[in-house]
Amino acid sequence: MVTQRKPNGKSSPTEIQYEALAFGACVADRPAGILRYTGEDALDLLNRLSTNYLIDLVVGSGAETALISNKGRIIDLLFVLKLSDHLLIFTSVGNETRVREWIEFYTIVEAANGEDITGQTATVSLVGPHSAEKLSILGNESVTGLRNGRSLEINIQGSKAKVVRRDIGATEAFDIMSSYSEGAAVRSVLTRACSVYAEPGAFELFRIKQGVPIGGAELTESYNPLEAGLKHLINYTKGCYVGQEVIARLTSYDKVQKHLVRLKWDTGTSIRPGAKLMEADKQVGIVTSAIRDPRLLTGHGLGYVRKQHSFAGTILVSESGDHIEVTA
Amino acid sequence: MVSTREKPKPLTISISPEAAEHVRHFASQAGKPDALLRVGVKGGGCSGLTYVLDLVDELKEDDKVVEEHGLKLGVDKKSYVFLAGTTLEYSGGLNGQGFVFNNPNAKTSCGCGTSFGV
Repeated sequence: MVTQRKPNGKSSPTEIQYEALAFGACVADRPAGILRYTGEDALDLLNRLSTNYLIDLVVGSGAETALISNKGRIIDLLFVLKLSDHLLIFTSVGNETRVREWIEFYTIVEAANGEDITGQTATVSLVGPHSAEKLSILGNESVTGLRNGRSLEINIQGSKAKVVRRDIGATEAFDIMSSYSEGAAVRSVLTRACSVYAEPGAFELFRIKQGVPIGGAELTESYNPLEAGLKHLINYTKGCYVGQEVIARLTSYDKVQKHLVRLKWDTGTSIRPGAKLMEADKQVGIVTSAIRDPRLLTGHGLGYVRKQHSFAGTILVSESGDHIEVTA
Repeated sequence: MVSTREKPKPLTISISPEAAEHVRHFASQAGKPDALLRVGVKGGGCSGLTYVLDLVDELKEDDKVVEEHGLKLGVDKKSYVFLAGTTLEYSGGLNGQGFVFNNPNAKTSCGCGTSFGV
């Protein structure tokens, strides 16, 4: 595939924002649902309901884990943060009610109480390889040593905030959480310091190029975590959890039929989520996310492709006959 | 016309004589011959819900209490909806040994039989 370069001219806002996300430090909104769980059994319950091992989390640390059905299908990808007297659970945006209801269905003898605090917390994100140093200058404490999944209470020019490092793919990213009353001040400080705010289009381009799946697009009940590239979030030795038997069988017998891959095409091609990916007149995949990169005049996407067609360099064809390359 | 259909029995939890005998045996082995059996359900296990069996000194106030074959059994109140109609049995066969929940509410169960789905 020949990559066209954009004709000379001014950089578009999306280009500037993408560059800041990928190479600098950029303010962004990374919408998520947030649940607060209390009760002595809450962490153990989540450990029994999801794929990752959560029991060893220390106060201030968190981990991603996949909530799956007993058929092994994805309900949501969660980030569970353990704090001194409660847990914070980050869900996909708009999925917080379903996740809470899902957990509540399985809360029987356990002491675990959930509350949806999505609307009570102001959260803004700082994304990019220089975000840690930028945040360290603005706050009263350095976050440069903060590892992925860890959190820290800091003060940002008079406003209290909780910083949670949640990388996006291989790129450093921090969620800065504060009370609603202090949220505007925190956002203002960050925006002034970074001077670039990533609008949803630029953020989506960045996410797709990083190969990061999200709820509603790649992470749905149509797929299992092995297909979605979440094997690193599956603990094979912790014992039973909901869906474990199916996941163990899929792994042991190598029964995973498709993989989430990154896709690329020429911009002249109009590819949308839901587009079929064909090979020799047979459907071998589907596009789940799609966006145009204004810098290189190419289109980028994510999609599920049958295992034998999921290798980098494979050229597939859309229903309209356009070429789509599997890039990773 | 006279209906010959039997009136449905109330959904309760029963325990087989063998299971009752083994509960007494395990209680004695644990040095608690007067212990009571408490059963419940918790979230987790491959199929979603896992049985919980405990020997306890006393039952909780709102437990559903069943007495059969000289054994007092308490069922956690919130778990009862998942266990109504269940018979607790004891299997001593070659294919495995232990307590078995014969649960009519279980639509699926995992390979090892310790968890179920409704």
